[in-house]
Amino acid sequence: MAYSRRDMLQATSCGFGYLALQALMGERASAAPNSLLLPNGLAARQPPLPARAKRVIFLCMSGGPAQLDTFDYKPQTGDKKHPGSVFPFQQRGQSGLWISDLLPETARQADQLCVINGMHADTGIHAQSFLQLHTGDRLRQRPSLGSWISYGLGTENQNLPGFISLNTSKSSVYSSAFLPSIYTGTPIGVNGENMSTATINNVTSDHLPLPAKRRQLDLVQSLNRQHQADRPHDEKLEGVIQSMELGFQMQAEAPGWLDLSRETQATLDRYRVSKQGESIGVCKESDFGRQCLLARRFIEAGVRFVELNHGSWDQHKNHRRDLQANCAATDAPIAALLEDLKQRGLLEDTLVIWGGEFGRPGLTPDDGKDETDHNFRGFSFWLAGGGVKGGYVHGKTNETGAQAVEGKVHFRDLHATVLHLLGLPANELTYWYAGRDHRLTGPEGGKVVHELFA
Amino acid sequence: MSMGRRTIRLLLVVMSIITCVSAQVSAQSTGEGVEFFEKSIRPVLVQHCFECHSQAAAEKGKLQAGLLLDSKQGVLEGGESGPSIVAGKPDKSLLIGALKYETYEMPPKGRLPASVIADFEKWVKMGAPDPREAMSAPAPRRTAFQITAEDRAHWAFQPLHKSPPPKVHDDAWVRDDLDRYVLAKLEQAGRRPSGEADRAALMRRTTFALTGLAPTPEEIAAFMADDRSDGFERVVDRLLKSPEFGVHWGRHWLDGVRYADNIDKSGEYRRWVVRAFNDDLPYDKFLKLQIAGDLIPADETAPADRVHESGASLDGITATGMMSLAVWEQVGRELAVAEIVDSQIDLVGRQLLGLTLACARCHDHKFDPISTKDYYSLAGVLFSSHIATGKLIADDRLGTDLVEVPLLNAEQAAANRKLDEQIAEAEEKIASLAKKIPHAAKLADLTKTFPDLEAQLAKATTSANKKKLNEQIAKAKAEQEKLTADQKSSGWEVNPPELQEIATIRAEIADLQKQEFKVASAVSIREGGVPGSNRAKIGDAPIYLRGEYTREGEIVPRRFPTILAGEMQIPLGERTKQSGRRELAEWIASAENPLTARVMVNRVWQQLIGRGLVRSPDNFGRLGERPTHPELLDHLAQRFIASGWSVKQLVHEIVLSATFRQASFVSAEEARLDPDNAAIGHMNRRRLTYEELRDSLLRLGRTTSEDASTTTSAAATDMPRRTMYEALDRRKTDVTAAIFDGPDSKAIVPVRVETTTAPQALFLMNNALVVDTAKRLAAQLQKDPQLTTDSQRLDRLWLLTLGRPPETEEMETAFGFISKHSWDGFVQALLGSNEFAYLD
Repeated sequence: MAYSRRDMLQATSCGFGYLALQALMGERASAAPNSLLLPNGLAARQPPLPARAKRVIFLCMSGGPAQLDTFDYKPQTGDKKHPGSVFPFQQRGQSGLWISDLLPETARQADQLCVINGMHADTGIHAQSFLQLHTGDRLRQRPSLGSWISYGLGTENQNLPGFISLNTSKSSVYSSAFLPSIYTGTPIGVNGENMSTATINNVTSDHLPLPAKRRQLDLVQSLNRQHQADRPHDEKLEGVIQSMELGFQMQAEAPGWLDLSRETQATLDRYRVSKQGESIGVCKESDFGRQCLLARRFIEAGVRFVELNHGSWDQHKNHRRDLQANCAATDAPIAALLEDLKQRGLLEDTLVIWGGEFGRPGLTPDDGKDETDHNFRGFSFWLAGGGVKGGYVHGKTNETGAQAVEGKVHFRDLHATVLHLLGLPANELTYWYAGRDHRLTGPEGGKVVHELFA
Repeated sequence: MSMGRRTIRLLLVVMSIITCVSAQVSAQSTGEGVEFFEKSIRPVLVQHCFECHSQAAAEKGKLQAGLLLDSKQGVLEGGESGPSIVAGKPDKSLLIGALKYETYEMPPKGRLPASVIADFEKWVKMGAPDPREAMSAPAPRRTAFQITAEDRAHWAFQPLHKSPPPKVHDDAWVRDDLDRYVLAKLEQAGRRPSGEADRAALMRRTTFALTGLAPTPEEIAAFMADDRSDGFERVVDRLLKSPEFGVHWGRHWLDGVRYADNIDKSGEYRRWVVRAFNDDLPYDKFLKLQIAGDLIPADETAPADRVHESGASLDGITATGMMSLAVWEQVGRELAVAEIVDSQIDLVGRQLLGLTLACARCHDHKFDPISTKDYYSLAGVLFSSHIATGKLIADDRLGTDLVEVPLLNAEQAAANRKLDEQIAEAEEKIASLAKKIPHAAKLADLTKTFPDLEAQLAKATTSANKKKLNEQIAKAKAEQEKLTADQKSSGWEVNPPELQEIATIRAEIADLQKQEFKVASAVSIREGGVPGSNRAKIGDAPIYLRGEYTREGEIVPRRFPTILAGEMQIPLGERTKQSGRRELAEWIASAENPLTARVMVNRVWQQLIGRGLVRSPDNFGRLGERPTHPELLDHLAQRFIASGWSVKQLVHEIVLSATFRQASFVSAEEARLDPDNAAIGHMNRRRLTYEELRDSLLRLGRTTSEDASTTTSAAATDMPRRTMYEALDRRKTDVTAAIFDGPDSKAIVPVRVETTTAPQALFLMNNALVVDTAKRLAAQLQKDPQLTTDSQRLDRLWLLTLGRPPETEEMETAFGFISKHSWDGFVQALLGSNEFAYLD
């Protein structure tokens, strides 16, 4: 489906008209007098509800991180040994939040964290739950969370993509599906590319210096204007002319944001940005520190939604060793990110989300086993910044951590909550496609978890 | 059986259970039974179950699994999984299994104490006395599936309607009857079609539409100079005969079937599709072969050397690759089997019939008259066939090994079999000879293994492999030493005559092996369900309640959806011992099926005109769009069938119509009255597809070679193969293809979207493909001895890229830029311009 005015008008008449209309209004104000009414769907717009957060960083931990050895403390109770935490925990910060010893740096940020221990999902199949976490649907490709948010809010920096996805394994993570493709995430690093060299596709080339490219673009645009003059009433032609300008600006601006060489060594060290060939934890390729530092820079630059990826947390074997390595690879970079956001005053309106497609059951101490399966009936997420309570725990699992029993939060509730924090009416942010309105929270709709809000 | 009858039967069953249990209960209702219920059962139900299983829960929308436990009838009738108890039989009662956390885990908040569960078992054993008879029966919570008169009246389910082409005022405009339908609609609205496109635009549009390639300057010149009245028809006929036609139209088809060459590893299915379009294989046959080509005997059109020993044609077997393109993941076997079938139903539904049949997997279709029963009736046919070999990988998950059939004809297969027999005989001979000289034979074998193992070691890359090979070598060495020592002590002959004999036979075997026919294999579907699975046998399948394979419901006879095939169908199980796939193919590819021809003519129209008459080409159901020109759709569908389902003839007719030849100019009035161009008052301007763009860039600056273009091997020429032959791997993202809305190997793509994004601009500005093409083309223009002046060079550049000569002003602009900057830079600017990327 092309991003045509018709679609926008359809959206206006069928559900979430408010934003769609705003997009039209925004464009009307800025368009050249003779140009057609063309929706600039990426223009930043005010959400209809009061917003607590403006931007999102999603730290996606794929594979199913073991909640019982990170954020959901389950000590042994009674005489008989039962599944629970096998790594020691301590109470941290002023809030006394229980955090595992595997995460000493994150633990220092305990008072920023809003831990959700009552997460639950529908399936223990990785691909399906991963898709559901990102899109709300576990079977079909639907627009990703970042795409919905870009659709709802546009983006602040028109010279950068509104939605960036780092170190992605699948396009389903950043797909806009039936939403206009301007809301597709821009991937940096796909298919296991080395993150230290990964970049936005085609953003640079050295065949011409920038001023020569500008001259060339001026020629292209004059050809395009002549072409357009003979072909009136075609929004697409105007759209291309504008996208060429945007592309050029991105080319001028994005490489600077991607370039970490001006960061101090102290910063690089705090984020554990890996040096050439160095392996941190078991996850050399993902270079998670670099991802966190890039995320901070993109957020500073006004990108609306940044997703980071780290995995795998799927410890079917060597639970202890690999979990430890994963924590080691992510702990300090995440702490540095939270610290920097706070220090720069960005944390208050940047929502940080941590979690994966499900969790894992606990190990039983001393039974000789070191392998864990999947658990979608109870697991943990945490949020930070963006108007949520710090040092707070919501919901709980039963005594073995197998099942969420209180304060249960489904992915669709999490989605609803995130949209709400951004000022978007969770169940009314819809898009008309294939004969009906679609929304991130699916046919069931999601419940906003107000208890999390500061 | 009709839905109505089914409902009645169910009701009768339920009523008889109620009657018979009532009798039991009344015997006990005055005694300890009721007391026990009131004391030990009811409080537990209220406290732990009613939150999700009661009328009150239903009213709040919280009812789970359709199970009501707040009435006696609810308990007995049960939910989606069937009755919750069998009176007197706790071990057969779902409720007890669920409380014990065996079948389900109820209540989900935690297992009830063992004593409570024991009470429930006791209660069921007592016959489940339940005094709640006086309570009102639960309101019907599911509206039974029923096909209404309104459903039947839906336009797409009507037989093709024959209408005389409408009368129009401007007869002179009409070139084909189809134009009358378009013109009549425009005239009704008081409008006129736009003028005819100029010859250059028409030439470029048509060449891309039929072959996906730009016209060459020579072709353009020839058409411009041809003033015969049928000049354009000659161009169209030439393009229809070009082998590039099948490449381009084959790609359109692959869009609808989720083509991936990591599934079709040999590329045989793709080649067959291209050939089918080039040979104008009748569309009905094209479909039949793709669904059941392995079951349909080869007809007289198949040459004898293209017939498989099963009697099917090799092409037919190859064609079923469409079914192998199902999308599924390595999950547990039964789930994977269900996913495969669902994926096939989705394809058959949306691509062939324009119906979203797969929506009825978990519940009756919410909008179209397709029931879950319809779904599983059809699923039974596909469950009875397999594309996966059934090989399991870790944790009993179904591996992705697909059935692959070597494309041997009957003669070749017989010859290979004979050779195999000879080889087997020879090997037996070797074995018996070796038995006579066990030590010498073993020693000789070992001596031969060393070079082989060492060669493998040299090639090994992983340390694990190296270690394994080193171990093997060490082991062989030890054995060798042992045998040599043994020989020294016992003195057996090292080189007996038998060894020589063995060597001779080995050489014969090698020779026999060389004589075997070696052919490519095709992925294919086969009769019989996935080996080893619950559905391994040919037969009817049960309904999977809520789409969950663990919850089998009623077994439904194999048949076709009732709304289309009627209620009086003879179940397929009574018509054939086979899966029913062949019958399915015949039913779909039939002139009687109201959807098949409509769906295909709509797709062809969409490719040529830019938008379908039905703008949701994969959904002709209630949520799809209604046709803008319903009579035209039926008119075309009938002509299509009458032509013997000839796609080329359909393309020929549409392209030669006045409708297709319209200019793409949009007047202010048109833009205001019909911004969507629903009345087709002008041609739709469109951007080049990803393949068209890439193929154009690849060809510019190179010398084209007619026969090089369709080969899949790049070695034959320096001309790169066409983009449709490039790798399309489901496990990887092709970033460039994604940027330009290119093919998707995982999803059915009914319409290629046309998006405008900054990454596209970045590609045109910076990608090596564009930069290199510009350089190569600039160099070619400057080197060409036939071009002696810059205006000649620019003239050729314009024809190559934009399909027309430049205007004087454009020449001046070009001269200005080139003299100050460079040819390369100018050519790249043209390649980045809208006129290059868009077709008028």
